[in-house]
Amino acid sequence: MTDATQKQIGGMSEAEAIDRAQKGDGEAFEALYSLHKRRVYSLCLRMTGNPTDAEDLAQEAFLQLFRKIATFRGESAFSTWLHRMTVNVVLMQLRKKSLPVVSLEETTDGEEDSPKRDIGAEDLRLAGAIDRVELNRAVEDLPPGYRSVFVLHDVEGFEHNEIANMVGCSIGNSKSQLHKARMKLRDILKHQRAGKAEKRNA
Amino acid sequence: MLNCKQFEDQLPDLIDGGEWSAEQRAHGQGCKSCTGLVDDLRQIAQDAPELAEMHEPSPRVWQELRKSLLAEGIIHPQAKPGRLMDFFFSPSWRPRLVPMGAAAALAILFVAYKSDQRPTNTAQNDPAITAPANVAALLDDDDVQLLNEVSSSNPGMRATYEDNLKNANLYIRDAKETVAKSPDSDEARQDLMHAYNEKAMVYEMAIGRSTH
Repeated sequence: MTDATQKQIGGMSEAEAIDRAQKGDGEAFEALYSLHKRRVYSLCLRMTGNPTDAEDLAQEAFLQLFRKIATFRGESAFSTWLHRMTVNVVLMQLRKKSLPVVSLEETTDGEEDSPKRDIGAEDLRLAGAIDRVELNRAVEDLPPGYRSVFVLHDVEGFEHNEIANMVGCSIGNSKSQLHKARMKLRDILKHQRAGKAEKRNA
Repeated sequence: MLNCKQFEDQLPDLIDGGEWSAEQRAHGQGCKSCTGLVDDLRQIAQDAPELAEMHEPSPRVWQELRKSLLAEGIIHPQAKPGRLMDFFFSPSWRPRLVPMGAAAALAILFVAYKSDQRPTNTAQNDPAITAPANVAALLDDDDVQLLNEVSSSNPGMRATYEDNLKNANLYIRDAKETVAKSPDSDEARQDLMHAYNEKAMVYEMAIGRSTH
């Protein structure tokens, strides 16, 4: 996870802002919000796929954080604490709406929707760095069950044991879901590129 | 010797730095297709963290959050305005108040004059100045055209893009209001830039989608 403690916000360090916020300083709350808002909102948006829900959830995550800030003792990084809280808020919302947090495939052990590769056939390569917008669009197209583990592991940097605890699955399932999510993303990206190339050649 | 299927089944443990056995290494080196797969999956994992801070919430999130913090007594309303007033009425600022007041009055008159000159249908064309109550009018002609293109290429995504566009337009409107209130604030101007970037990104994504 990114360590933001060295960043200066509104003329104060993150540690100073936390200290002042614990004493009820409004400006310190705003400074902490400014420092982390993009990360928290982007996480909510990517997990829900809906900007309005994402804003509500980001607001809720910060509210929970600020209510509990007096209890923050610095055993873990502040950003880790906040992002864990955000993930819990989002997961609770997904469960409330009965949206899949992990793919149903893991419980049924089916293979219907899992990404496949034509083994032995000529395989198109992605070749090189992937454009941020291109990857973002591909993540949007991932089935929600695959998206959560991918976002938590590859985008947010959580370990499989942490994801297993948060999501309520085994470490093996988390690894397997991540692999399937990456395979699916590779498929989507290849289709996007093939489509663009076709369009250019038409 | 592993075949491709067996190799692929073992990949979840290998991509993120797991120990490769001699058998796995031999297959990885000898099979072009599997080497390509490993490279692509690693590339995806490597580029994914760039998505972490990609989107900016609208200023309304902080406004609502601040209201809740005030309502719960976590922060106190007088803290910020008090400091601002102390700052403006400090001895170093007092001599500048008269010319600043005159400049502000001129700016208000100018804005009022421009508003009078605006044709009556401008609100329809400029989503950023549309009244918040009329959410449907948050989309301008270009937005509607873009949504129609998204609909024809991928009807299921229209609602998402419509939400994104309305959200971006609301954000631009809020940011413009903030700039109008605090024209000298770098943060307000930066916020407006972010708002326009957010909308540009929605367009970029939608156009990319409709061209494949």
